[in-house]
Amino acid sequence: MSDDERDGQSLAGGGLVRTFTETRSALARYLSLRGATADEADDILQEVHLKLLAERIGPVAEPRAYLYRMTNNHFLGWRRSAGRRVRREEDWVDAHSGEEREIDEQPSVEAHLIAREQLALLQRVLDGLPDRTRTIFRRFRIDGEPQRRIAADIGISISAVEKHLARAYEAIAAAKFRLDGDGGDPRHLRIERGRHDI
Amino acid sequence: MTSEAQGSARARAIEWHIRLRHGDHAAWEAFAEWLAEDPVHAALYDEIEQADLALEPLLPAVTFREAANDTDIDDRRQSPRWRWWGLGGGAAAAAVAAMLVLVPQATNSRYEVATGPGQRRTISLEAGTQVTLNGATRMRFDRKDRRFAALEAGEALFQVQHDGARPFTLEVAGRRVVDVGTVFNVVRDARAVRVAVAEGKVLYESKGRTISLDAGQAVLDTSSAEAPRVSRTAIGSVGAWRKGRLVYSGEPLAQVAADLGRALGMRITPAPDVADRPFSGTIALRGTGPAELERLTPALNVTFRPDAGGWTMTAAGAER
Repeated sequence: MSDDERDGQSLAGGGLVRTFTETRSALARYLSLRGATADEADDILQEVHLKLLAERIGPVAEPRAYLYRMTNNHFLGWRRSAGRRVRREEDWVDAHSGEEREIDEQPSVEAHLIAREQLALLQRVLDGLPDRTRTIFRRFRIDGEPQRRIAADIGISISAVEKHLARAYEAIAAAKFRLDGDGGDPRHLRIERGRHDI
Repeated sequence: MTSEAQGSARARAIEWHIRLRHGDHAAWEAFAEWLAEDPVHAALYDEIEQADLALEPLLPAVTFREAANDTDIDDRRQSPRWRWWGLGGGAAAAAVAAMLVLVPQATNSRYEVATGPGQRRTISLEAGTQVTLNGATRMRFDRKDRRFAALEAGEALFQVQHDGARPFTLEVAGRRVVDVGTVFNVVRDARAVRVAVAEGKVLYESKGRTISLDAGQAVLDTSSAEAPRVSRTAIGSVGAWRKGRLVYSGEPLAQVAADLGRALGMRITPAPDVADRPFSGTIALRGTGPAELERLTPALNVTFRPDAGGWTMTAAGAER
């Protein structure tokens, strides 16, 4: 896994599938390092493979990085839907045990209040950042600009941009946001076999 | 791992998270090596990744204050000038899913955007200015004039960036709503035009007069010659439909029926015996179709019966 020329070759269209085959074991290792079981990693990579075959993705500049990113996204999707499935099941158990649940608006009012609270919290975190840090964070996180371009535009070094971003993310991590509605333990990825309905 | 070491590992996790967004394969491989060094690394990375994911639904709703941007308003109001009330993520996702009908009008720069029943769509006109269309809504915009909009039918929530030199103007049923930097909601149906202001201020021009509406005020302007009626409105309820919530304090059931119809994509006609009955409370929509109407019957104390074009809302128990 040291050769860059392979990436160069795969610029030609369907090369992405070939690059995937070549990179598969590295991707599987990555998934296991992220906490997926071997079976889960297998399923996730199968999903990625099918997607690559089904969608004619144009030539990409960095095929292996692209595949890592794609694999990571699928991993997050699986983790998220696994969390959701657990919640759904809990809701179902909740609804089918003990007393009848009344039709009331409590849950959604509560969800609404949480959302409001989260929004206010994020606004406070952002407002608390230095102007330049906030602007760099917006350009990076919302506009998706690469650090290189932001750095060139503002006239500071890439590592300075990185420091601003790290500062923003530290403030965000410290604020402890809750993932909207999906809750659950982020480490929870125990997907039962045979229930892959994604 | 000492807490100091953990602190620096957390900082490393953040660096990785930033780097990987546009990272090349070497970055990903080095990241994998870092994960392999210590199982704690994966847990720390999960934390920052999840924290960032949790922002996703919130980001469309926050304000990024930029230096030297409308400082007069910022000085007047400590809080940001506008902000969505509640969560933007669900509605934004719904908007992406909603089918959009675009009718190009070759003759001029005006174009139409429409949503089908039960659909939603958010249109970004320029930085800081967004319009969210509720279901069964038709609007016109102008490619050359991003400070113009017209509501032909339905309901929309406006989030408008203030620009003293270029006021934002909405045309609705021959009336004009001119913003002074604000969040406001407008409904146009067969009976009336309703405008509710959540933040800032708008000027409402109708029937030869101009009414100034502040945050927390609403106007009901019927199609009759009657002067528009100004009333109080709960600020938090303005545009609550974006999150599937309909909030009322004493509005007639006819209005509830129209709102429900728009949200659920059904035609709901109130029977005369309930049309004017006032309703107070919050309706949280969860589902769609007849089942959702059925669920709401106890709260509204009405019965829904199918009729030729949709559903009739009558007093509870009236059918027997």
